[in-house]
Amino acid sequence: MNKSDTHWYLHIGRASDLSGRDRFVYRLFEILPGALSLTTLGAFVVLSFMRPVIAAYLTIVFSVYWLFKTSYLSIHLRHNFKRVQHNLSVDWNERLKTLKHDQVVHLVIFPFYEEGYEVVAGSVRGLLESRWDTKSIALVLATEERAGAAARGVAERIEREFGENFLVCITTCHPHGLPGEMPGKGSNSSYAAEEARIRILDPRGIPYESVIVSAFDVDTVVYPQYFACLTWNFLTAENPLRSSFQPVPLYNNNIWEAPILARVVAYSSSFWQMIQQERPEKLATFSSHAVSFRALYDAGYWQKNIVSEDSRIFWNLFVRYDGAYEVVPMAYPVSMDANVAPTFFGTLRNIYLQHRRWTYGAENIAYILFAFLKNPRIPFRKKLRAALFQIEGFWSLATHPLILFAVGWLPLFIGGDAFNATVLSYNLPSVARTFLTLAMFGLIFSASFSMYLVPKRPSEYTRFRSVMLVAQWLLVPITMVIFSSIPGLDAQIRLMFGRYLGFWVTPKSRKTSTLLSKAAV
Amino acid sequence: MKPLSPRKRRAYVWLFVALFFFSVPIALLYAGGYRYKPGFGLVETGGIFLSVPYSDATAYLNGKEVGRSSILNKNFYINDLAPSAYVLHVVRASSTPWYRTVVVEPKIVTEARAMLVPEDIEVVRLVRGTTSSPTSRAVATRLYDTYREAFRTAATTTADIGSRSDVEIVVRKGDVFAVWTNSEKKPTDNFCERPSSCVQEFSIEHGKQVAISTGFFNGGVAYATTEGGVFFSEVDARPTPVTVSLYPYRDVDMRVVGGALIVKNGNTLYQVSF
Repeated sequence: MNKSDTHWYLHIGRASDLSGRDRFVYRLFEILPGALSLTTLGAFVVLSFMRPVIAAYLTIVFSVYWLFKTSYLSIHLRHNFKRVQHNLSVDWNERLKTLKHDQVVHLVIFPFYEEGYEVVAGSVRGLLESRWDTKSIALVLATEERAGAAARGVAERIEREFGENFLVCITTCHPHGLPGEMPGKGSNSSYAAEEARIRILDPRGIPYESVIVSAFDVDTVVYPQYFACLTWNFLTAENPLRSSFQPVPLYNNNIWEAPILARVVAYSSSFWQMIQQERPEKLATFSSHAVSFRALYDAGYWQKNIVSEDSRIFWNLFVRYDGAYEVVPMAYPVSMDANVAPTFFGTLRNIYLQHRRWTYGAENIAYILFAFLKNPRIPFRKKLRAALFQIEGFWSLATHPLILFAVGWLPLFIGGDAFNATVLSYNLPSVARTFLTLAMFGLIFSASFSMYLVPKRPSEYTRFRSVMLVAQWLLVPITMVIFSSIPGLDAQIRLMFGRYLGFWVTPKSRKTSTLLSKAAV
Repeated sequence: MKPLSPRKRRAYVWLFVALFFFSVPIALLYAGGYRYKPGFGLVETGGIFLSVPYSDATAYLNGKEVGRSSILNKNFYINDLAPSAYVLHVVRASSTPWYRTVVVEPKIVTEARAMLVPEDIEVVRLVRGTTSSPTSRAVATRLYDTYREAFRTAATTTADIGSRSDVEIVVRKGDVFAVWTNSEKKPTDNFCERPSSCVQEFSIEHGKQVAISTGFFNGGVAYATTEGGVFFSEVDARPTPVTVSLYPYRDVDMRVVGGALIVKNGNTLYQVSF
């Protein structure tokens, strides 16, 4: 690490990448999220023992807070839903007629590991069926050396079958075991981006400023006007080279096949992203996203030594450009796979592991705080807002559902006889439940709008399945605890004790290959 | 179509912050038992938790029906009660009516458990062997001997009443007392004439009759007196505990063996049940 560089700290992955006082400080920042969450929950447990009355009052305050927070968020969700619907109906190509866009090149990277031909081909077909000149799309099939010949074979077959439809289609093979790298999407995508620069952009003299990189999860199927919408957003952004572009991730590819819990979790993730789309100041990149190649090159691509490269790239760029960087919410969807395994319990396991990986994004907190310490050029107000948003976000994710649906009720069980004889003890369940039920109904009401985002029901599924798409939201209290709080806490505790996570690849499989017709709304 | 404008979002934030600060005090005061009573302002209330462990019983508070018990609902939480004394009344067909006067204090929930004793009490003579008759019940020799053996020792007087421990029943100078034995724990509501005034012991039978034995039975206490026979009573210091005569014959004794109430009259054993 060369500390004479202005942004020498740009690609720090963990405390062990540093030495001396810096290492100590970074380690403290890694401990912070877990310590905050555990202290909150621990304090609740201790209060329930020692001062059950205060704990009970706090639970009620939390329930009220929850009602108004969900109401506030529901307004954002509904607005974004309307915006997504509107954007799906807009003719973006028509809009582009007034803008000069011939020079724009789309570089699409599909990093993959052991996913089969159907998965990758489905995504590539999505590109071909989009309403965009695919001759301006450069496609990179980013394979992993450690995945062996099978992955290479999939890429070669796709290159052979579909390659000529694109400006260019190349396959890259990320070598296994490069020093300083963690095997995963970040290191693979970075390698692919650099290969694309050497093999596609530089030989053709394509300016980096004209290239928009869409870094997709391999199961990402674009909606027909994705590229037109992205191009329009790029060309009309206040500062396109200092912006990332975030579509709405819908998990529609296999939503009708997914078991009920997988559907709830998938749509919860989509809804959260839709809410964030209306709060751009809180939005970081997530999963499939787009960014100019110029910015990507300046930041040295995605970090190769962390798990949450998709959100970290935003913070890399935020720090690299001294706070002058933002995410432009596209309010236009892309479709991905809901987490489905061959068995129900396999699905639950995969959802848990996937969410633990997502919530391991808490590793960004240490990075942000450390980078903010080292970068005096970022305005203090921006630093403070960004740090507080992130810390509050991961803290509430890990603690609030547990407080509302588990720990908050402890006074009733461990509060003792004196507390149990109080009116408060008798009223706690009814008062808290009233607020939580109101919050739930608000959520279900909002969620019912989601039905419009679900692809048409395939004939093999009955109407009952449609009804369950609404009724499934009653499971939210359970999914919030099991697939949000607990994996969030798990991730934070691992970070806290230095038991760093590696990149867990979500297994993807397909029953059908008729994705586009399903994904189309 | 543009994202929500910052102005609109700020307005929503302030709206919900205002609603939050408006709702929280109301929710907390409500949960803590405060109610607004016209003319009195904010009043601290208490409540009664009435447990009716029977189906098809009707519960009343000060003569006003509060509900009817069923298989699924056997508890009534009556809240919003101004501090005062209240009369609970539970009736059920073919059972003796149950009355209890409970004092409600602010912020406290007073518990009461209705005890409905059927009007028909079954008394059957026990015989050793295998042949029962319309007036007797045959029990295995071993069990019969166990019953007999029980009368050679003093009656057990410490047990659980329902799920509650820490209560002992003693016969002292011909009277029956309920004693709270756990000095580290506040007595349960049946030892409290009002929630803030509890006693460590109280008499269940305190009169001219001389009690000779006692035992916990069917959630209450059975005791035998030399003059009046066997009685059943609630363990409750509050007025007016149920007391019924189970076997009204002089000079009998009783034991509770394995939950069964066995009465010895001369050399004959009877089982009393309801």
